[in-house]
Amino acid sequence: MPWAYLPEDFAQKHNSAWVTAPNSFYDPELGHPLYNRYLDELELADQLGFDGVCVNEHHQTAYGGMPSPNIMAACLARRTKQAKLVILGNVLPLYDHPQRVAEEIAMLDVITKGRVISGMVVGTGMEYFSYRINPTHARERFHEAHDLIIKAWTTEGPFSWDGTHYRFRYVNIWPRPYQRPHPPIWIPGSGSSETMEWVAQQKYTYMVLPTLASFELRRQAAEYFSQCCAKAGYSVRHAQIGWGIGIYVSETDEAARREYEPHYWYYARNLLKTTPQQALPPGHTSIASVTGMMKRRLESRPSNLSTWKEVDEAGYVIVGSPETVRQRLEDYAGRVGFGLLIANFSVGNAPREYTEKSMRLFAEKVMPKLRPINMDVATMM
Amino acid sequence: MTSCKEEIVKVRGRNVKLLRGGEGMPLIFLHDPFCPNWLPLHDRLASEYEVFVPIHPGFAGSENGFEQFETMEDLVVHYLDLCEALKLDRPALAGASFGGWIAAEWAIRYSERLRCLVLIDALGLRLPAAPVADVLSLDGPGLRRTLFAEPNSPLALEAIPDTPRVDAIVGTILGRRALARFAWQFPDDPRLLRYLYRVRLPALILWGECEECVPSAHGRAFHDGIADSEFAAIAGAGHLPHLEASEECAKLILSFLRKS
Repeated sequence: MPWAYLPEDFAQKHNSAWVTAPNSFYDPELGHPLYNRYLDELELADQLGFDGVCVNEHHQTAYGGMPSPNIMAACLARRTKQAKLVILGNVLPLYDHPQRVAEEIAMLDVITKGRVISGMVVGTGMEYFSYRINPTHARERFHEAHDLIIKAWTTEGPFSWDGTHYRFRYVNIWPRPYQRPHPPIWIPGSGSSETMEWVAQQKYTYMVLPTLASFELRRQAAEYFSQCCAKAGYSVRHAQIGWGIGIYVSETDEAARREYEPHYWYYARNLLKTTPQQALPPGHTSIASVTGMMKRRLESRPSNLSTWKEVDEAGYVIVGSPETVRQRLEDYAGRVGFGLLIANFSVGNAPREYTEKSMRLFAEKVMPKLRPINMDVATMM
Repeated sequence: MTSCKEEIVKVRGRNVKLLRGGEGMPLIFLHDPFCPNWLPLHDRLASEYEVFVPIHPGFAGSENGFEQFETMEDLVVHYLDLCEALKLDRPALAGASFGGWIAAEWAIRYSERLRCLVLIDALGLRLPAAPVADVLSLDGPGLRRTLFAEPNSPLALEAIPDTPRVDAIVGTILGRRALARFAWQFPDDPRLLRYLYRVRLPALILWGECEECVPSAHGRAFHDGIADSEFAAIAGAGHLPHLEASEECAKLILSFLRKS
């Protein structure tokens, strides 16, 4: 849910759209219709037959307007009918009381009669600046909070939790989740190997985030995840690999690029802008991953791309006529083996009519052709 | 010139990298987080004292066992253990920046185990009216501007390059992680100020005159809080006067040590 009204010279004047980007750029008068428009689009996805609608959590940023994903999911809970509510996800280490996450997800799950998918994330480095959580504890807190939440969902209370980062004498959540043993867990990631290894061990779904890098680097991430599953003693299921990507469909390839490109650059140049210090605070990511990422990721993030040709050919997004989009998705799915597509239809400051047109064309002309290859489609804003 | 020896000392089963040189009464120098090395200042001090520069837990060479360290208290106990391992009796204690913070925390608790205290642009105090820079949010050039009186001097560029040299990447990452563990966003202990009276030692407080990282109000507060202390401002230096004005610092420290 990007903030669509940054000034033209934002990227020249500010080194990040996160943490320190002045919130004087946020105008609640413009924010009111913007929130409601994004929620309308997610409701439209439900009506158009998408399998899921996704929300996520980021703080103090123009990148997205969802500091609380659970509030957005609550807004959608009673106005959607069939789509799963995919919360991608709660940033567990930010919270001193993980039970709050367990409770809110359980509330949503019971209200929707089990339509919730619970994502859990370590969160971007930027969140550790915004919430003053010590990043050297990020992984430990994530794992302990996860274990506590799963236990709160699956073990009859009350029980006590005496951990390293969390200690509670009484854990006894009401309500308990509707789904048994608990809502499915999806873990989005941007390529850190320790996350993939853990997700494979847990047999959860790994979602390759769209901001990671080019198609090839992301394909390698998915491949590594499959290897991790093999190492954990089983073959990865297609439905265990989620592929996040920006999609735009228009009548023709030319129209699609013309309509999409300026808004893509708004997103890539402004909203993804952050500093290496903010993105990789100390200890947030393992030393091996940081050394790799320092070389790879910060050089190849879309904000460093400069031409549409690079964006298009490296597969950062899929933009074109229904036929082009279908072909590329089938090609990618064939090469990556993903069974879950998490399509981001809203980009940067694209106007509502474009996003809606793209979603309708996708639902009508692309989605039916993906069903035979067993692909589920969720959309995020 | 005294050249230092590098060795690994076992402290409670953990490896600690130790740089040492010179002969005489023992002096422990707790390094700043940016230059965990043997410096020209150490050579000068080693002309009269036996100087020990232990690398802090978590920094390259002493990273093993770092997961056991959570708080400043753990570091203080670590240095008591190190003193026992080295059989040091009432050493003089000096510390710069983050190392100065550890030294101050040590001195409020166990000053009877020390001979005297030197604090150089020490972190550790919480002064809401004089906040400390958030060094872990800064890039190379920003960090140099914050730490040095002359940010583009060869000395500054060598200490903090724009991007770390390839062979220094892991060391830089380890050092930043160790600093973050104890000093994320607020490198202080809100209780330190009120316990400074417990430092019952002669103390020398040195502060860079061009300090942009830890405002000089912190130096004044250390001076006000420690009864038997003297304060000296170092011209032409920022947060790291032991680097930028090492000769001036050496003179002041040596003359202080001789009389303490």
